[in-house]
Amino acid sequence: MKKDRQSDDSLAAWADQVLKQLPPRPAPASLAPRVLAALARQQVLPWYRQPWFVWPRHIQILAALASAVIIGLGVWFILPQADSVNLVSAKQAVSQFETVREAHATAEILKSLGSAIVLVVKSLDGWLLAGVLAAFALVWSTTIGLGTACWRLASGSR
Amino acid sequence: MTDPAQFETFLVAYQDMVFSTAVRLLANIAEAEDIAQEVFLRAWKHFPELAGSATAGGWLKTVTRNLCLNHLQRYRARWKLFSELAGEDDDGESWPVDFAAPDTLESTLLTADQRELVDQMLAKLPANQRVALALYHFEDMDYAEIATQLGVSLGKVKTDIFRARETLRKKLQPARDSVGV
Repeated sequence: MKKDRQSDDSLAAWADQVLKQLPPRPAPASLAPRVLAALARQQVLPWYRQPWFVWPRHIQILAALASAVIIGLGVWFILPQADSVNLVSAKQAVSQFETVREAHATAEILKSLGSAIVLVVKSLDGWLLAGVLAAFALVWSTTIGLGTACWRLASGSR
Repeated sequence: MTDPAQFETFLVAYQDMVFSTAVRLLANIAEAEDIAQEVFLRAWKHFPELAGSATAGGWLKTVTRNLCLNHLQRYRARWKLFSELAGEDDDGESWPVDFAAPDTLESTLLTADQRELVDQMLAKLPANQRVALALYHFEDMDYAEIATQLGVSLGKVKTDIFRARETLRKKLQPARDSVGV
């Protein structure tokens, strides 16, 4: 057991000695120009078109403060009304918003469309339905295939 | 404001170190180059602190290692699949290397050709063995740290590293073993 341990240790020491002698692998000649080109591309973009974490520090702080103020104001306006809120008044309040009304109308249209599709499907016989589904699958897979080919072409030409 | 010329000097000074760390973990030149580029883009953002800092090399090594490990984790399923497909050994291949046998414990000084061959052998190890071995010997991490980083058991790390060393030893042993000396 002790001998095995010594053998493992000597193997580890040997491997360490061999591996530590390896010099750094030279970076490809293309690396430095690639990095500099990527940096040049980044420099062209204004700060507000870049990710938040690379914005100038003072603008990051201002943006964080502005977000906090907006959220704080929202809470400040909503909280006093919370006492008088019940389910009915909340529904009425929500229904006053144009967006909610539009969403509700869209949902109704989708519901009607769904019912119509179910009726059509029920009226088709089995073979016709299978044909329609097969055609749909074919169109779908062609779209995916074309999309993939375009993506490969576009990314290959970088 | 970062001076681009100063950054270019920094980039040239450290690019070999960053690239070799990445390529020894990933065993893929194109992926290692992508990772190295990402490392230097991050270094650019921190360049005011890194320029002239004695810890710049350590910072670059740590970022490179973390990005490589993230990259490997992201493709973990593929990584596992290929490491299993690759098998444990590559016995069909012969390596025209004449090294001192490790059991003699003599100091083993490598020639340039031999170093090149060791690098090639490292790249041919199964991914799980290569990554663990590189983290242990090149990144000076201990078994427990490697196990935590890779999210595997301590026993697996020890086994992988032992097997990797054994493979290297077998490949690098001189021909005299084959005649039973």
